[in-house]
Amino acid sequence: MKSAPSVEPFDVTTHPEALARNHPSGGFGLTALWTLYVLTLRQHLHGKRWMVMGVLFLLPAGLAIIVRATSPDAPSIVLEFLFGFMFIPQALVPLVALLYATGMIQDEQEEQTMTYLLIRPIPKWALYTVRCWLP
Amino acid sequence: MHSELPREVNGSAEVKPIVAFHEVSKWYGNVIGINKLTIRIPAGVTGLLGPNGAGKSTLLQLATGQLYPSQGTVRVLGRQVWNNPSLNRFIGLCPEQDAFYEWMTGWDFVHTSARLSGLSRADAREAAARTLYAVGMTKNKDRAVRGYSKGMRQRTKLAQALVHDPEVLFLDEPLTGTDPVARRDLMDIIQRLGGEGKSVLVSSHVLHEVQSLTPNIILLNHGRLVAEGQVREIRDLIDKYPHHIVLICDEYRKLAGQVLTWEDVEGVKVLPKEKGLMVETRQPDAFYSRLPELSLEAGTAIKEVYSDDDNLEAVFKYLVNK
Repeated sequence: MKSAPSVEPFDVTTHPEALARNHPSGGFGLTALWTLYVLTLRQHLHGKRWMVMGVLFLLPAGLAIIVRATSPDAPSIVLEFLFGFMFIPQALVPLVALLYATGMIQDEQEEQTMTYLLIRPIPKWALYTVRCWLP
Repeated sequence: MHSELPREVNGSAEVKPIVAFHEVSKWYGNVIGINKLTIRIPAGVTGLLGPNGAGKSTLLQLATGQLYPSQGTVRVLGRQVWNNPSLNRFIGLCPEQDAFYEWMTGWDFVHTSARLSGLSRADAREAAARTLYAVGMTKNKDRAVRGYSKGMRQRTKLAQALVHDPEVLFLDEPLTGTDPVARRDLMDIIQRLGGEGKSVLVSSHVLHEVQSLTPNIILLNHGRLVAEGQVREIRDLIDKYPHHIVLICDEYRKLAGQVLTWEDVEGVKVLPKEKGLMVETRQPDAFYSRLPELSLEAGTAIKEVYSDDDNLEAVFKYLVNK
């Protein structure tokens, strides 16, 4: 461990030595925000929601491939339907994104890991913005 | 600074507090978490004691800016805590809950905590390695947290609290659920941090844990301050209240009759099984001073004297139940 700085307790938040050590980037830095962004992304990837999203997006394409492979002479109406079906997930993206983001914050609160973010030098508005905007 | 705060009562000179609560209350609907609490915690290691539900965690959440006080002001290092994220560079918290990003390794968790505190990539690597070493987790740092024992998890939580080298550390029940080895190691670490000049506020509901860490304690119960100060001061405080002293003597009934004549003795309970009696007094020093003389008298030789209140656990129980 580093040795303790010889500063008065009251001066510590303004003492140059302490500031240089505890306040390297001044204010709340991009480092913390970028790390929060990466952490959020990693949490998404480690969850199971992305699998549901993936299935939702791949389902029309999968159906189209199956239809194409099994019925080369499928009527055009079927192909048109599948083509339209492919756009359904895209139409649902805003809703899915909203559910995704709120679900993540809810998970953080339920699992009590939110504390680890709240005790960092990141403003709450930035915390929730990054959490909600990523999807 | 802090002119609005009251002066330290028991010190001749005003002590600049690291943590200052002034008339702080926190309600959760109809439930009171903290009730008009005014405390000034000086630098060094301080124990925060109280039974479960006493308000210890609420106090720590208020001190780390996670909760907004319903009433009053909370300051740490002289700065307002709420909505002051830059203050978090100087504060470390080891939370009570056994919560982690389970899919991370210990290294990843501590390194990410360092990066979230604003440390550069190189500084974060160095700090993570340093703190994991300090808490004895270097060997297991590359294992997933989900496979950690309780002791390892507590060490890792402590590492994330230390990784940005804070000036003030809040440790919420850091020894809970740990095995004796981890407990001893964690206590050593906390003592070392105090020796290095860090200010540490350790919460616990077990007195003997804190007793071996620091003589400075704060007792909370039902969200209220029960007592604060040095252990000795707290002992002095309880001396104002009934003190139970057990006397073991063959002629315990004769002895009971004699001590009952003393004005400071408020009650005597005969203990036939132990061949002794329990005396209740509010002036234990005066009582103890008369005992040698009494013991020398024929037929009342006292074999053993001990106080039921003569350990911190009893002090704690007494103070929180009074």
